[in-house]
Amino acid sequence: MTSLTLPPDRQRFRLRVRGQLPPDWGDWFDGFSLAYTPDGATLLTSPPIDQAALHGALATIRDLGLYLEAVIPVTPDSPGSYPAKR
Amino acid sequence: MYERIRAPAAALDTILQAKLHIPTIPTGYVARPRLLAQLDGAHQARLSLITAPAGSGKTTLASSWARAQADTVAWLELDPADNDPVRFWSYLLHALHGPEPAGVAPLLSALRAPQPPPLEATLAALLNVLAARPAPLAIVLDDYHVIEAPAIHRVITWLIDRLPPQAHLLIVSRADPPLPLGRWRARGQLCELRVHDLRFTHEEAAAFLIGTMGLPLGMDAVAALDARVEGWAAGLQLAALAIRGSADPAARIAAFSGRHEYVLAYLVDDVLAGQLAYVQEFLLRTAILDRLSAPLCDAVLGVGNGDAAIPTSRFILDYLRESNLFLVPLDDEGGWFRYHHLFRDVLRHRLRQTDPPCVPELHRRAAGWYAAQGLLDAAIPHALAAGDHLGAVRWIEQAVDEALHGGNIAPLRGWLAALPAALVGARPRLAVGQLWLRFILGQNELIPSGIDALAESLAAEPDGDAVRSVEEQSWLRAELAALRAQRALHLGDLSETLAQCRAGLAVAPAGALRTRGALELLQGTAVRNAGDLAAAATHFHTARDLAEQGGGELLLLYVSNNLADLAELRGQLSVMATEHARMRRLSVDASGQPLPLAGMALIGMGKVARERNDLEAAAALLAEGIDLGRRSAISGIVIDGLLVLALVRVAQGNVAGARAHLDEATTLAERWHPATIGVRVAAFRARLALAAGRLKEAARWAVGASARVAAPSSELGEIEQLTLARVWLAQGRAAEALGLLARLAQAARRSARHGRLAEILALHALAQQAVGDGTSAAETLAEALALGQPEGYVRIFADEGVAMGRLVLCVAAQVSSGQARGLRADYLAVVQEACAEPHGLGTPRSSHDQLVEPLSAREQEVLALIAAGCSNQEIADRLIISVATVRKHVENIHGKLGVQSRTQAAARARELGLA
Repeated sequence: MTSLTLPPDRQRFRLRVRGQLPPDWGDWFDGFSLAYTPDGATLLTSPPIDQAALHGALATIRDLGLYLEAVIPVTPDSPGSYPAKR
Repeated sequence: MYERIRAPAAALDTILQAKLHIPTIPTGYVARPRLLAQLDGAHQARLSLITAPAGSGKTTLASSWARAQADTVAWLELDPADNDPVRFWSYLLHALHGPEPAGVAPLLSALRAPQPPPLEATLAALLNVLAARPAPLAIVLDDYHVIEAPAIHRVITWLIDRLPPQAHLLIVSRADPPLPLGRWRARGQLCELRVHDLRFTHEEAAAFLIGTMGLPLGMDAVAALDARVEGWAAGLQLAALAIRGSADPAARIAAFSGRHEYVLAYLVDDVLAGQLAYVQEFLLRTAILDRLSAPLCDAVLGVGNGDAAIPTSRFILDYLRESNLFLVPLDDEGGWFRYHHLFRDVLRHRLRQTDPPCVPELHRRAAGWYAAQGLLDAAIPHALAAGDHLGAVRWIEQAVDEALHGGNIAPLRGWLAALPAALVGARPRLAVGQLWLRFILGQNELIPSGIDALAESLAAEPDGDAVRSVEEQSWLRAELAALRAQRALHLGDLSETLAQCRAGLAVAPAGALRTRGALELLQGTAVRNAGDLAAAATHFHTARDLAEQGGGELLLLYVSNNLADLAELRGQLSVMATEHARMRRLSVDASGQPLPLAGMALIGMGKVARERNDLEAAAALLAEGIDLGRRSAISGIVIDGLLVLALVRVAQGNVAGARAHLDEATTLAERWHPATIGVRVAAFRARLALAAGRLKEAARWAVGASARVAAPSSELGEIEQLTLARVWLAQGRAAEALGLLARLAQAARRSARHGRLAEILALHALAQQAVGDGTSAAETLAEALALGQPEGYVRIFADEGVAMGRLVLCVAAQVSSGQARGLRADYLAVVQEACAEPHGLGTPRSSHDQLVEPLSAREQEVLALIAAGCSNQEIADRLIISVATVRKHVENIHGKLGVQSRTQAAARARELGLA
């Protein structure tokens, strides 16, 4: 599961939230990249972060009233992110 | 605890009141009886929990419920700064002060005191206050999700588990709090309202969209919109604002429903776009504020220069409120508002996106406005947000000296914590405030390094902004010396304390009255600890002069406290009474509440009254002092008072009452104090056992105590040693007592502690009498009486009972035959009479084991019948006496047993084996 190239306490995560966030909303999530799925959700992909930063991102999702659909760790063999819509 | 630093109290109270204000229910609010009924039905549960995402209408629901509860709700809106436990609990107490002022005021006042009690003690006292309430009380904690401090979650859990049945907690949060919800759920102690409960039904959505917002919509359009926003309250409100004024609202809803965008972002943009340019700008720029008032908004926008083209903030705020634009009133007068948090967050994001450079400037303006109002607590966070650390630092430095002056140093805590450590280290004034704060908070391990760092920065060249005048530099050096002296005093290094005090006084500028006063106070304390009481008094008086010239109320209070203690040691009852009375007058906080030190003062006054054998006055003063200590949750004061009150009770013949007081003191000592206090309480228990004739119990205590006296480095206090001497006298071990008392007398004489010396000599005389040396006994007692006479000491002698009375008579005979020591016949008569009163402490007497006065044969008969459940009439019939006589007997029995009722009398009778 974990990437061999990263320190064990740091990990990339992908967060799937319902609805399409405006592209400039990426700055709520420091360093995350933002992409859209064909079925109308937004994928937020983190840089390598520790657990505290992950919890911070989850709190931001909560505080913006976003609907969190999934959190998955990103491993080297994960499929690439969907292309941005715009 | 954040009030009254430099601000007019009323202005500061605004901010506090805003946090405690139950939010006003918006106009056109949609009543939700199905949810209110659930909350109403939750009274048996300990905790109600409303958890749902931002904008779900949680606060509106909770406030409409709370506003229907009359005066029985304490409301507290939390923000991230409340993660400091001291701040959190202080605010919660402020909130509870509304519905429960009498019980909570002393706890608040104690928290503000220079030496606050442990939090656990305050909360235990709070639970007692709640349990004593006749009416129900709900505590609402809004926005609990901002709390992350495990210490707060832990104590909240503790509190919920112990809430009395009439109290109920309601937590409003965006996320489930990390509390043992499962446990409470399983026990049926939890009532939950979650997101699916809060979703607007189509009927509720229709009531809002059509009724409140006045939109001409059919039920189909309402249902479509409600489904699109998933019953989300903020979504409905934003959508209504966006489509209001549209020619064909239904068509807009249809278009909106077909899109994939995240509704919040989309809708806020839409709502903003529909506003006039100056309203947009107002919303974006004032979003940096957590609270808004018209003058503050004017300052942040930089208007008010007579530009008539731009409407005033007052006008825009009114417009926003009337338009339902997410403005929440924070008071009932329309002075303060806040934006709905979700709306505010989106506005802040928009501002960062569109005009990032202006953000620091807006914060700087907000800081300036708050500072001009004297609201440093609000100004400093804005200065820090503006990146203006130096601005913040200047205000905090200003506050340090005033905090030290007034004693309310607690606000410094949060401010200093918000500054980078390096900055605090580089600013000696801040470092001084931080070090005193650490002394007060007992963070002793951080003090030495802090003192070293301060010394280093004083020796270094000050940089840039921090250029110091010669006077400032001297003042800082004097403060450094005072800190070092305080540290040395803690460590018991008296010579270092004195050296630092002298060094500090040599450099302190003449105008630094508080610093000079503090140095004199420290010097006096060190000199007193070294045993020179007269010199200590001189230093304390110098400190008082400085305090009176402007060194501050707190210094004045401490001086009185120290002079009162000193007078007690020196046996000066009249000075002790005067200083305690003065201390009591000074121990009042800004809101007129007595501080815990007032409890100490009352107990000191009670001690004086007891020594002078005014037992009723003593009991009243002590009870008042104990009550104050208890209500402030300061157990040290309570124990001190209970011990003295127990002695008063014994002197009044109420052994049972004395025992109850000592039981309470024992419990408190075990719960809140190190073992040394327990040792002291145990000595008083031994003395009570002696008075009650339970010699065996006293002897058991003495075995342990004498082992400790014999130890090479004996730490046993004088009170314990005197009690030991009393036990030995009662056991007929007078010779051993003689040696101990001679040693104690020598020590007390050397340090001129005349009150204690008189007590020791009185016992010494008894011991001499017991070994058959009547001549020496009379001489020793005459010396004791000569020490006691000028101050009116009576109890020292009277507590030793009839044996002492006989010895006083001998002295009186010598006086009348001319062998005087200046002793007056009237004084001796008073002492002798007091010794002859039935209830002394020293002479064991009893037939029935634990009774001070034995019951007569008739009284024993009556008691047996009481215990058998007979009425007075039945007893009268049985014993063939009148009912009036029975009543008299019952009264006497109650007095002798120290009980208040027949039930208690019956219980005591069984205890004593009389029934």
